[in-house]
Amino acid sequence: MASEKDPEQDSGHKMTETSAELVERAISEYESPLIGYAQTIVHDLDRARDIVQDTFIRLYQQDVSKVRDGLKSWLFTVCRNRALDVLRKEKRLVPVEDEALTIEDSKVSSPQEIAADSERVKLVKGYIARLPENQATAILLKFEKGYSYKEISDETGLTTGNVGFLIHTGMKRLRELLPDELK
Amino acid sequence: MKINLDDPRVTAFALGELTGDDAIEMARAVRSDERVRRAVDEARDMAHILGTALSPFGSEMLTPDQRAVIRSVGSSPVIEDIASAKVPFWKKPAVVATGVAAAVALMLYVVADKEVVDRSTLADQKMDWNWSKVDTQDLAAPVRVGILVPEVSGGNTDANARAVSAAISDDTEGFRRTLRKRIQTSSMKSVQDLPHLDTKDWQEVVLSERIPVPMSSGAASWPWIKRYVIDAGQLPPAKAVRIEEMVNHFSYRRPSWMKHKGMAADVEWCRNPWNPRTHLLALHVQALPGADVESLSTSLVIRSERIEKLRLLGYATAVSQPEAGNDGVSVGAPAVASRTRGNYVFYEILLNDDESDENFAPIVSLILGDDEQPLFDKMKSWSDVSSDMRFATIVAATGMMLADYSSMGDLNPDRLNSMVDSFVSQDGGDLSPERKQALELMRKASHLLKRSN
Repeated sequence: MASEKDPEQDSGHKMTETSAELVERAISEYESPLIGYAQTIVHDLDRARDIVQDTFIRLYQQDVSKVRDGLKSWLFTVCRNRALDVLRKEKRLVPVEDEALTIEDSKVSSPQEIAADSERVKLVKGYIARLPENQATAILLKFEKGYSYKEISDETGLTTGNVGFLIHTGMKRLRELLPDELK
Repeated sequence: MKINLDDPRVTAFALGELTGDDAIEMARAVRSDERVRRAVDEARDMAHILGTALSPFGSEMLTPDQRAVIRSVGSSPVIEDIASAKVPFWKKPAVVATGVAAAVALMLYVVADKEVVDRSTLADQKMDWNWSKVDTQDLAAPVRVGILVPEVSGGNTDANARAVSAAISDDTEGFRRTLRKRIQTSSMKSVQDLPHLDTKDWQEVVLSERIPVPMSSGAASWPWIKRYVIDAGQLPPAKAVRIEEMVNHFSYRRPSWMKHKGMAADVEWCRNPWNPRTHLLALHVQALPGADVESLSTSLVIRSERIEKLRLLGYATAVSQPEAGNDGVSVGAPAVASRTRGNYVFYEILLNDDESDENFAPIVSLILGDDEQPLFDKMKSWSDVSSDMRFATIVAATGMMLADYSSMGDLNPDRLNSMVDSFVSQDGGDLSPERKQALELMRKASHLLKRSN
């Protein structure tokens, strides 16, 4: 079952990995944190995703034995450098007014968008409420509160294995329940 | 080990909750088992839906397309097996660097002074070249470009060609000045002896591929064109028209976007002003002071997920004359970067997506030495790129028309004139005398082309 996650611990793997497997594992563990990190630098989700995509592509070109033990710091360093490169280049190439407008546009939601988001939250919560209570609780703690499996375990008293099972089963059920317009 | 899709590790892996050997085992399954890959991606998609709906700070994820791109890059021989990859003919040095080869080989036909420097001493001469004493047969050595090194013939011929090439790198301006002078004073008939040019057409991009970027160009074409168009009022023969030499007859702003291992480079791209279906990608590479120019390499990774086809403008293969007694394939000097001058290169590309304005995935990555930089630039129109790129584009367009290039879209004499007009109205107040004269030449060439049609 899921190993207890230690965000500072990348080493200690006994199995050997190919570069493709390392990249897949890196996506699993660091995709979201890297996008969030890149977004704090470039202030644009699409660019942040592109930067993270490029970071993972560059990981392919590394010697697995040299990066796997310091995977996290390698990823964040490369991601930061790429983000700064993009920022530097765009500052050189894009007129300041355009850039400012772009950032401003991306920050502000219209009243219609806010209403639609609110309706969406209500609908999704309605479908989660149809799940067994323990599944719904685990899913809300995971996605509403942003807890890790370990933190959910601490909060609920369940084992991390149980938490993983509840979330896995609950998400599969939600996939069946949610209408296409919410997917 | 086969993973059961009811295994909670599938979702845990999608959510980044697995570490250690569990994570490695799942990563392996994702790479090798389509069912697992799909299940993990579905769990990620659901996590994204839930995260964005339930939390204002919902965790963002890559799009399914981006994940597919990452995985496809990992499957590409470019990354995993570049050393053993078969090199397509169009990526071979003979194609990429023949511009240099044919350009310097032109000296063979225009040289008036047949005095030959002893071959054994040429290889030893690195500095203080007396260009008037160089027999251009010494330049007919196998070419070397970027990371791809062709078979060499061995012996003095290769050593001499390399020595001359190194001398051109050291004293580029002296070489160019000498060549210009020889062309200006040679018989117009000697142009008939120029090698025929075999222009390469579009190439499909199936996998993301790494291609060497030409580091230098010859210098003969522009002086020949000037003699024909300005002095004689005639169109030059197509064999005298070499786009890369025309473009690099002019100097451009020193590149600064990327610097690494003794090299600097600028990259720009825009919509093609004469063909709405294609785009132009311009690279300007230059050796930094003190660089070991013979060891420099520049290459591009062409991203197959963005680019369907591309062609390098210019750098046609020069086919030697049958009476020259060789196999009819190009000859020339190694393409060594100049110590003092950059090299400006154009690729015309056909994207394989319709949303190029919105797509921020890189179309190419530029590699200098061992450092790689993806190009994330937004799509621009031709009028929005740098003055250098716009000027070079007009020069390249003139070359394409004079050489009767294939697939020229809407390019015609009127379009060429309107590009010149547009450039003059936008940048005319800040032009060097050399560029002003060049624009006049291009107007005249346009007039001659229109009259000949």
